[in-house]
Amino acid sequence: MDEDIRQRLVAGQYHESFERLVERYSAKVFHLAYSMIGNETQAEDMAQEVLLRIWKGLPGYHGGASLSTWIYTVARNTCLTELKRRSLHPTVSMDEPGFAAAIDSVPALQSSDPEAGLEMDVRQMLSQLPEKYRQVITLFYLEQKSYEMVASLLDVPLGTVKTFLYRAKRELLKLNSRRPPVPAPLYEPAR
Amino acid sequence: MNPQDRFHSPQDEERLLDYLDGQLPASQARAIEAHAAACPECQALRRQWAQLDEKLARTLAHPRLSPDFAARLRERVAVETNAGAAASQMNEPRFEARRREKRVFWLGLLDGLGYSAAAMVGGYWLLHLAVAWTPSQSVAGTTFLRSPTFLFGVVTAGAALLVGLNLAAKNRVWRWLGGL
Repeated sequence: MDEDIRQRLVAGQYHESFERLVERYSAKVFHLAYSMIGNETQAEDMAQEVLLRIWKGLPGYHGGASLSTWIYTVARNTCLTELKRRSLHPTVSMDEPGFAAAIDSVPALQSSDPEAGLEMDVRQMLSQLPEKYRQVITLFYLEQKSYEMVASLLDVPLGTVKTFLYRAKRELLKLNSRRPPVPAPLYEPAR
Repeated sequence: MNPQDRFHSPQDEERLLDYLDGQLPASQARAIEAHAAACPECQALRRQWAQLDEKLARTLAHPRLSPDFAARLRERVAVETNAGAAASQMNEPRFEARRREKRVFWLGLLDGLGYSAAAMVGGYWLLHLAVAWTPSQSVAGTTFLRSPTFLFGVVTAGAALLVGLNLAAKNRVWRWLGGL
């Protein structure tokens, strides 16, 4: 699949290889970062960081592992380092899922937009899942429900992905059934 | 799963959820359809999951890379590449200095070895002459002075001393020159 990139790398055409690589892997790296970090803006910054590292590391890539395996490993390690750094130096961001959940619990601030409400609803449920389940189910939807792609991105066996997905779905179904029904508006807005 | 079976194992549920995600082969999917048609529990689970699946799909399919992502990355790569080139240029004089130091060391060593060889040969002959001029019976211990062990010891010690002195002197001279 990546033979064209490999051939260019062997020929020392790093810029051309990198262009193709970015085209092919940017979205995957972004999805992986998003599943680990849970914030769109930060995941995009992380994807930039990962691809910059890949660029710096290209001359040292000798094709030992497949290109995708190498890229996903760099991505996972970069995100893990960032998460570790954050746990050592915690900051509060308005984009954090926890922050959104906290806002969601304040009735005066509840959005009247049903789409925004739904998003908060889902994010709140996801935030209650164990991290590994949340990561797998997020990637599953981002990658058009492909078990193989999730397994490849996380470097885990296919069976593990299936098991984690099933458990995540069960948890979500439980959480969903526990949620109180949305109350009807007290009055209809004037037409 | 049997249509009359009301007890669902976790494996059955897992397969039902896989079926709802379209992940089962056609034969297994048909069997589950046949079962679900007659099973209220499976129908309820199917409804619940379909609702949740729709919610998840709508929420999680949302994140997309910004349109200028690739352009920003290219800029960062260009900055990085230029910075790398500048750094390698800045490092060049340091490499040169290190190379010059090595050259000086090897030249000094070769110099030292040359002087030492000359000293060994010269010293040997000088000592030989000195021993030859010494009256053989007048000084006690002249036999030891003529022995090859003594001669070798004196010559080696002299050579080592000369090499050391030579290297030290060369280093000092080079440093002094470098400081000018």
